Amino acid sequence: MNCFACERHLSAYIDDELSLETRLELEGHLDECARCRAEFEGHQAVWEAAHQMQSGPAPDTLWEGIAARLEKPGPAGVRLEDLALMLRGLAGQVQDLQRSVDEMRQDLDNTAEPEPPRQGIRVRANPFVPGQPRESSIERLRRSS
Amino acid sequence: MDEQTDLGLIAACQQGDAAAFRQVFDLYRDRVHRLCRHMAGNPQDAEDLAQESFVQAFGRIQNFRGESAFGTWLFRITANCCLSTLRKQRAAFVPLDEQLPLPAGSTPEDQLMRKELGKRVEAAIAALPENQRLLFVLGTQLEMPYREVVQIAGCSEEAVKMRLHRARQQVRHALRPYIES
Repeated sequence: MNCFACERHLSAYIDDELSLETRLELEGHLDECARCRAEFEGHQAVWEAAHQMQSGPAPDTLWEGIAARLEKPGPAGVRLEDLALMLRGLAGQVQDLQRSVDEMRQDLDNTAEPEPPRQGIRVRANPFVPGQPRESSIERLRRSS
Repeated sequence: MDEQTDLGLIAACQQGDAAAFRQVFDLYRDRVHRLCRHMAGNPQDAEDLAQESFVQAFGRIQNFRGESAFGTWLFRITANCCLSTLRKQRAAFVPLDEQLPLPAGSTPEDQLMRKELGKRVEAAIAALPENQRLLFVLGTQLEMPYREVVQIAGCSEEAVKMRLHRARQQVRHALRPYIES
């Protein structure tokens, strides 16, 4: 094992996460290389200092906050079964609404009066035909009189 | 807690058994709080994060299908909760009150040194980027095996090894004047 590989494996070695073969290789290298041994000791010192620096136990008030939130129904507290039931209820309500709208539409169709003739759109009496001269309104009046 | 106990308790939680929720909470409270404490860097945010993590886990307990250990699933929720909150707001850093354990017969000078070292360690952990900090706390403070860290952090074992190593190098660099003197 060379120094580069040794340095790369140091954290895993401290955490006891190396295979037996790699561990033996690394230990062999540490026995021979003073620089890597110093590196290892530095890493180990950091691990020990950080590992010993532990926070205390969780505060007793922690459960009270959780229990209060679990009792209150909210998005996080809703169970899947409850959600399924709510969805089923909502789907039923949508179907009822659809049925009511259909009935109202049918009633409207039955009681509707005949539509008055449409106004505003007039069809020209002498539409333009390409290639033929169109008779003007004055000429048409003269002809009819 | 072994996996069998885990499954029995979790099944009770899935039935809505309030006492089972409390039991699960008691089993994991200190470790979940410790992760949140080191991630948040201050006690108030740590309590909020731990509370949010348990509420989210209990709210989604029907989704737990036993594909991983319950603890891994719970810590994954806690880690996501910490990361998403910390990305939105940078928590204020308040050093722990706890000190490094004192060796027998330590002098007042030793005590002072260890207290100072404890503060430096905490500050160095707090200075890590969130993703590295998560791996550092899981691997060092909580002493989790890499295969569990892989499941919680959602990256490969090789990535865990490399990032954890980089995180430790960074902490070591910050602590060099205190540790190597």
